[in-house]
Amino acid sequence: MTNSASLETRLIRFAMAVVCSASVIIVIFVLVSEFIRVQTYLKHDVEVVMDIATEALQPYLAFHDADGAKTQIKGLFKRPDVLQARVYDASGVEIANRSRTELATFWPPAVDVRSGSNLLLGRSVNFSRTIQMDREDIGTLELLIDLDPLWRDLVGRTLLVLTSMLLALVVAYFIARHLKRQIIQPIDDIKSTARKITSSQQYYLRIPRNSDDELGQLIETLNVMLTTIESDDRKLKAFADQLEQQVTVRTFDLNLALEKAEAANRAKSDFLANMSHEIRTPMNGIMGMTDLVLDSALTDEQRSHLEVVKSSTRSLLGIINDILDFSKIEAGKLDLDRIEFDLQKMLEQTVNPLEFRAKDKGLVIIREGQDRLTNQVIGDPNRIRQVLTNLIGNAIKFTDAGSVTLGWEALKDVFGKFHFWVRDTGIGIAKEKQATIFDAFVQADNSTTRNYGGTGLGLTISATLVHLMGGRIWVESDLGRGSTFHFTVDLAMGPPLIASAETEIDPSARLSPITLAGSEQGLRILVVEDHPVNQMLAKKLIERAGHQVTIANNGEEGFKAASKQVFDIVLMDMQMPVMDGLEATRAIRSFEAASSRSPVHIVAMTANVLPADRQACADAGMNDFIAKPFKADELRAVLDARRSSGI
Amino acid sequence: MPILAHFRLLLIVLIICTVRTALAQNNEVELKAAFIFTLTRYVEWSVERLPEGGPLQVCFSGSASSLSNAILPLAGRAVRGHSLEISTGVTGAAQKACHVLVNPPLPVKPPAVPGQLTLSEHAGAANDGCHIELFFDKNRVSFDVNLTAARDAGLQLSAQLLKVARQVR
Repeated sequence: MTNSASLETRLIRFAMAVVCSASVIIVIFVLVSEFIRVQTYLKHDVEVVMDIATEALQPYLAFHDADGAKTQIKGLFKRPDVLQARVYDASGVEIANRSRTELATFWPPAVDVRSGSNLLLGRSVNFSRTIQMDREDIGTLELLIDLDPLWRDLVGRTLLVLTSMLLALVVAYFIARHLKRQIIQPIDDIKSTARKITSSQQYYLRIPRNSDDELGQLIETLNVMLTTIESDDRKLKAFADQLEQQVTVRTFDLNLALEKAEAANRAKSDFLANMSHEIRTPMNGIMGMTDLVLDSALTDEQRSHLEVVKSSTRSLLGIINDILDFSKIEAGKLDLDRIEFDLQKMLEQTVNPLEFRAKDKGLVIIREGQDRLTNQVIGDPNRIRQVLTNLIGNAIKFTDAGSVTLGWEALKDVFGKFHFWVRDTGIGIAKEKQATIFDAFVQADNSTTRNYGGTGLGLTISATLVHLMGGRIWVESDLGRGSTFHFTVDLAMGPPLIASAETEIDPSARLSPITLAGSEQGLRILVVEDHPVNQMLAKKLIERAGHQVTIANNGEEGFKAASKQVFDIVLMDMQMPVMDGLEATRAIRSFEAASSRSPVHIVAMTANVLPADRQACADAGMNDFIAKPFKADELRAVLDARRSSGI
Repeated sequence: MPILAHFRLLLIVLIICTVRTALAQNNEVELKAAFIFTLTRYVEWSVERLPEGGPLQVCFSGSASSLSNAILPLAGRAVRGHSLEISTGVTGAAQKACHVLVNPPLPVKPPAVPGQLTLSEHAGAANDGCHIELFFDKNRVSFDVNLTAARDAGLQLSAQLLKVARQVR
């Protein structure tokens, strides 16, 4: 509980309380001691009087002189408080009696004046004294003493003390008020100055000091504190200013550094993109040409050598893709698509090419899952395919006999969540290795790389992709008894973020990748491609499929060709000298618009697989998209799809 | 000493009763006897004349009278530590040993016997050199004192005694 009364009021109250209590104590003490003193004095006084009186009365009693005794007691009435005096002889017979006035009926019991312990109460008291002669009692003297004067005296003294007390209170009040000026005023000064400083932050203000007492010392200490605060405040402000300047300078430096870092990062990204393009393009050429040569008449030895070339190239391409993906993961630049696609179809497209590799090792791929899986889902089909390809590829790689099973299910308890698993009957993974196989550059065994090859990045990339797709990946395995890799992904239904740009390939067309589907009426196809190897590869593949090919060396040539002649499909490379693919596409579209010609189907060919690049293609007016290095079956699928769409 | 105390108390009561009876019967003689006894308490003798613990001799010069008979019961009573002895028919040299001589032959001729209080019930005895003159008036005993004569005899009379006296000369 806080006391809301002001210090002044409390000081006055305190002084009053001290004076009052002291006064009450003194009054009680004085009155009690005065009462006792007056009584003692009275008793002593009466005792002396009675001593004299008994001495004087003794011979009168001895000689039975009642008249003499009466005369003697007359003198006692010179005392104003003697109301009555009586003398008795030894036998108790009253021989003398004298009263001042008519007595009250009240006649208190006699008190022997020598027993001093009795307190005298009431209005009068009777003193009694035995008169002796030669140790014989010869009579008794009784005196009735009026106590009224005693009480009057006591009342008078009480009034005097109370008056003194009142006077003391008044004096104490004025002293307290005076003290208020001495004590409260400095405190008021402290209060008002502190309030002013708090509200205005004027630390140069000081509290006036008028005394050298404790309050004066307190004020002095506060003033010293204020000086310190003022100095600190000044320092703080200076420091803040300095800090602000430093922050400005540092921010500028940081911005510069940031710009530099961003520039470096851009350079790195560009480098990566270029590397991707530069590496994939020759690889594309090697693979395409190898396929073409393999289709021609060869000796068994030559065919066998070329198969090794093809296999090595595929491995190299896989490794390069892994390293590029891993670089993107490291740089945090791995972006995911969110497009609507047919999950069932995607799974088939993924498994089909792998079946050939499985068959080569004498393995079968078993599908284990819901037939009527929700068809349309939203997500990144290419990345799911990448993960599945990696897991199934590993399963085939590490299994010498038996089967590889791909399973899938939609999780019932979580909407849009799908669970996939790949089970093999291969060498299995030791328990202690299972925790680390998803770390970068780690394989189940150091000897694995020697025996089976691979970068050891596949599972790391898969794990990262699965995490990015809102799922998790784990493994169940026993050494020598096969492994099962599980992963889950979120494929929530909803509107696609960008228009579907997935290359949908008819599975039936893929079943016989080597046998090209013939056609009586070939399509007129314009290939805009600067790289001669790619030009030749595209020309050969298209011609084999029975279509007519026109080659343009860059975007400008492509635009000229497209404006002179009507084509069914334009295969447009993105990065070309003179005019790039996007610019050429925009030129063709504006020409078509100007000449009211129906728009040609333009398919982008690019190593840039980032969604932003694909969005740029769509924005420029391209209809489809094919990743480089394209494979024979992929290219044919695009062409077939175009033909079947009713051209 | 409860027995002695009771005895004394009884005695006092008896004496008082005796005195009261005397007063009631207006017995002048008995009053005078009690008076003589009381008087001795107000007189001081020198230690040489009355050694401490010694008997206080009250003598009657004549033969036994009603007064001497009345005072006899008081014999043996203590007066300030002195036992009271009553003697009658004391004459000649034997009188000098008496501390109180009642009804001496008048006038009492000087020189006075040192330390002897003379006391008489004859009218004008105080004028005839007797120290104390008893008389009976209005049913009460009163006395006059010849202080000069008492002082001449080397006696000290209490001021209180003088206060009670009817006349001091």
